[in-house]
Amino acid sequence: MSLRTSARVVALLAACLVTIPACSPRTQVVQVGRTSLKLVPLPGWEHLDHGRQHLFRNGETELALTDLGPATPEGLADELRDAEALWLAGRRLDAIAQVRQVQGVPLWCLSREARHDYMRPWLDVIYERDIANRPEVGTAIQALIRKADSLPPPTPSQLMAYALADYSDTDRREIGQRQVRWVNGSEWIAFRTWDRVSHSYRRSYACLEAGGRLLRLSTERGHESQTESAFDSLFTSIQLSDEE
Amino acid sequence: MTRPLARFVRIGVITTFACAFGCGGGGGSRAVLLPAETFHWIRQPISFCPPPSRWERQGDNGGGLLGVHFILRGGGGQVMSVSAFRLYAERDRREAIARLIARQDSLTRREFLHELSLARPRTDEPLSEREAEASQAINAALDRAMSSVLDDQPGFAVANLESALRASRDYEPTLEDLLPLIRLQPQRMQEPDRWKLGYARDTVISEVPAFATDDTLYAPEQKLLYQEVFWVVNGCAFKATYQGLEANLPVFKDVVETIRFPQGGHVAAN
Repeated sequence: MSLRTSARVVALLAACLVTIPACSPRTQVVQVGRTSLKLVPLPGWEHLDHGRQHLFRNGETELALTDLGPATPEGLADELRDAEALWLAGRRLDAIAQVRQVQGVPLWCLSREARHDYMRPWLDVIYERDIANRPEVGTAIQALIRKADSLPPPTPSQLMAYALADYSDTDRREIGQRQVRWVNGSEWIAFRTWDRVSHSYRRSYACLEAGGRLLRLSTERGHESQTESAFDSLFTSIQLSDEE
Repeated sequence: MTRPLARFVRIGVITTFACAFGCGGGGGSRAVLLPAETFHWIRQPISFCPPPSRWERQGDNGGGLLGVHFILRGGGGQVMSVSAFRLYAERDRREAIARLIARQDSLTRREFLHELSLARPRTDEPLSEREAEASQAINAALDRAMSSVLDDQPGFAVANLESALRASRDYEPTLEDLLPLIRLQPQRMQEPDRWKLGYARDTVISEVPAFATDDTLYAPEQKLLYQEVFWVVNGCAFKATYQGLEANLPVFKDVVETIRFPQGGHVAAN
């Protein structure tokens, strides 16, 4: 090999070393609702940050990463504590609105009677007149926080069922595959649904309880041939931030 | 490019093509089926390994059947299907009566009578004399249960429902009962002349008694094999159908070989 050829090879190697880091996927820190995490956006895909929900789109294909609210009694209590903080800060109507909007797996799993029983301290005061100026509301929020601790923790099946509850076509679909997957130190429930009759139109999902919240990565639109590799690529890149 | 290098490249290209064609579905190679899936179309589940993905799947819920078609892409009408006879499975009222017994304490009288009316078996066009007798016995017991409810005697109502449940267990359709209704009858098809009946036989497929037929369909473009296999398991009827060319028949046979009827469903006598 001549000297000139050797110099060319060295230059080529140097160019490769310079360009490789630029081509490697870039980890991005995102805030999904209350959960902070790192992920590698899909190259060529549009990423829309809607706060509680992040959408990843490519043509007719769409994946979503969503904070579905409290997943555990502790998560529910945390959300109610935020409402209590608003109440104590004098933002009374905001606090009342927040308690009214509280949802999540622990409440969803209860029977109608048990849910009514849980909410009783709140229901006893909320229909009074001029509630924004009634100190009983603050007491009721505290009672809800105390009672949240006594709620049963949801099972993995309940987490999975909750993750599918907001889809309108759940009746026509069944869970085809389900497995526990460890991804970057987090224990996810990964599952796939399909059409009951033909087992086609498959959609992948994964959900994770993180810091008392339920995170869901879902296939929203697109044929399985286009979505499966993208879903897996995004899924395996997700890592909870250190502060979680 | 030097001569030895060019020769090396040429040999490499030829070898690559030879491998590609050798693995690509030549004469004796068999298609690799997909992993087994279990379908819960009716009370008795069925599992099988679907054909490769070049057979595009489509759900089918028509003509009293519930199942899945696998249509060969670019195959000019070649299709295989596995289906359950939903219409006949729904004649079995065991589940409805058992559910009514379980819920009778929590139902109001009006709800109970409504559910009771839904639990009645069909009496029109019975599958066999035995089914007609069983349906009459079930309906008589349900009539007595209704009278007991109207007379405010819930204890007697439950006893009569249990009697109806026993009567419903007395009969399960067999392959022999259903075969005249479910096998191909050209005169019932839109263009009877296109069908030619061939060889039919009792056999055992997937360790279950079955009835298989080898017929012919004269489609507008080409002559196609039309093969069907019927099973009745646990009172539930299923069929697998192949409509296609001889070349793809091994794929259908492989799929049929993988058919299983899980959850211990007992086999009705042929």
